[in-house]
Amino acid sequence: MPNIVDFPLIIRLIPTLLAYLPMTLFITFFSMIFGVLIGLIIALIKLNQIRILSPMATVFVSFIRGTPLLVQLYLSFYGIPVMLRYINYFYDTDYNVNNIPSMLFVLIAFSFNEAAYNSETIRAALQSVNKGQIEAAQSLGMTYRQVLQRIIIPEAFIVALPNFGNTLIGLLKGTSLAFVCSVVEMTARGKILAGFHYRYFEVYISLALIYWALTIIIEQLIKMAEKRLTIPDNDQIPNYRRGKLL
Amino acid sequence: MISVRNLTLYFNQHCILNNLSFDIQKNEIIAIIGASGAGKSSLLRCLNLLEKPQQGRIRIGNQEIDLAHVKRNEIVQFRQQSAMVFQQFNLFQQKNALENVMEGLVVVKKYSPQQAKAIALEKLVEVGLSGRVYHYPKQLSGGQQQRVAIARALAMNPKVLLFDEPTSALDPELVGEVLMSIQQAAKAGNTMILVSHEMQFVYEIATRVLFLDQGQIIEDGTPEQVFHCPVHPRTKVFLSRYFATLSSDYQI
Repeated sequence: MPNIVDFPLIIRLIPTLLAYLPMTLFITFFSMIFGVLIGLIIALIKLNQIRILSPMATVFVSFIRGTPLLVQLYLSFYGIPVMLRYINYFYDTDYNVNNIPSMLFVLIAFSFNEAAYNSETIRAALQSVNKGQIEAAQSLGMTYRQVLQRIIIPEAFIVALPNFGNTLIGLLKGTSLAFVCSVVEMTARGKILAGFHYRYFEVYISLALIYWALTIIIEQLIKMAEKRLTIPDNDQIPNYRRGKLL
Repeated sequence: MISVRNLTLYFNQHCILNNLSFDIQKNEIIAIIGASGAGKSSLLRCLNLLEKPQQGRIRIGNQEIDLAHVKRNEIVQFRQQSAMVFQQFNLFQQKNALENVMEGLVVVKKYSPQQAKAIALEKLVEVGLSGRVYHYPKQLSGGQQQRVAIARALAMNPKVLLFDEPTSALDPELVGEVLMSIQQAAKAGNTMILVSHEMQFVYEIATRVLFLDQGQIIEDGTPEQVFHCPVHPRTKVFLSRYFATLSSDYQI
């Protein structure tokens, strides 16, 4: 039988590809953190209808959701150097455009993309918090910021968690586009290996298996977190909740 | 101790409270009664600035505010003078009973967690919940939740306790335990303002009753005066309807 598909190669490629997993996880992790933080700020701007900023936030979200991620990566990759040249020109500075690490373009593009999607999730979650609890906190003399930090956000987080899980999975797979900004992560490494071995199908099978496994792990982690954060309906108090603050 | 002058509250052109003025002395237990929509809850919420009246002045203790030009940090300060118990309990769902009571002490009063915990436990014991301190609101019955809310209010050691229909959301079997906790708080010498439809309870506990109708106080006197010899025709109608719902052998 001719060697149409090199099955052992699929297995052999996995460890080589996994060497670039930290890069993939690095992009995913930091984009998610920044994405949630910026998303929270956008959500708060919209909820409080802050002048000037609120319409700007709306346009930003609309633009990000209305353009492909790939295009956004290119915009970041080519746009930031252009911006820097303008800064150099107007402020008479001398920043070297070639010194910007490629990772920065990637993180900016992914973070803003995540932020736009997360902002809507977060806005809905913040609005879902019962108004009575907010009033109770205010009546104790808590400031808006304290109410937000101690009452609203902890409760909204649980509501938003399943959605965060979804966006996290989307983001993980989205990082495979980072190669357009010349960042070598798992998929980019796969492309190189495929060219080296002349075995394209096998490489992409390996990659698919790895991404699939990662997604399953993330799903399980989110499920565990949800279970831990949800207060049981029955009379039981889990031990990890009993010890809090005491 | 508390003085309210020319308090006026509008909701979209609709007048809820019309130029109210009254004083409350220390240790008084005021009951506000009246028909639904008379402005009872709104009045209570104004004292806590959960509603922002368009004009008037309120003084609680030493702090006086002019409602027409009140600043945000003044509002936050002023709210600490009073503590509110709500109809729907409004406990923090993500915190257990103990944390609910500790929250204000730690965040607002800046007590250390140890101090706050000691006070919180003491208050929870007072309302008879020593066995449920680690339970979360949704694991507690309505009556227990409301008692946690009362402990939360008591813990802040406010100048005045505000009760906004504290038993209206409870089924009849659970009303008693909450009323008992309120009575305890009254006996301990707290100044209290209570909005309630529990007339029997109001009659027993209040030192003074205000009858509110269409945003105005039309009756103000001891429970005996207001219940037995009301002056205003509106009060007479309201109370006669109330008495009519009672069985003949049940009288106050």
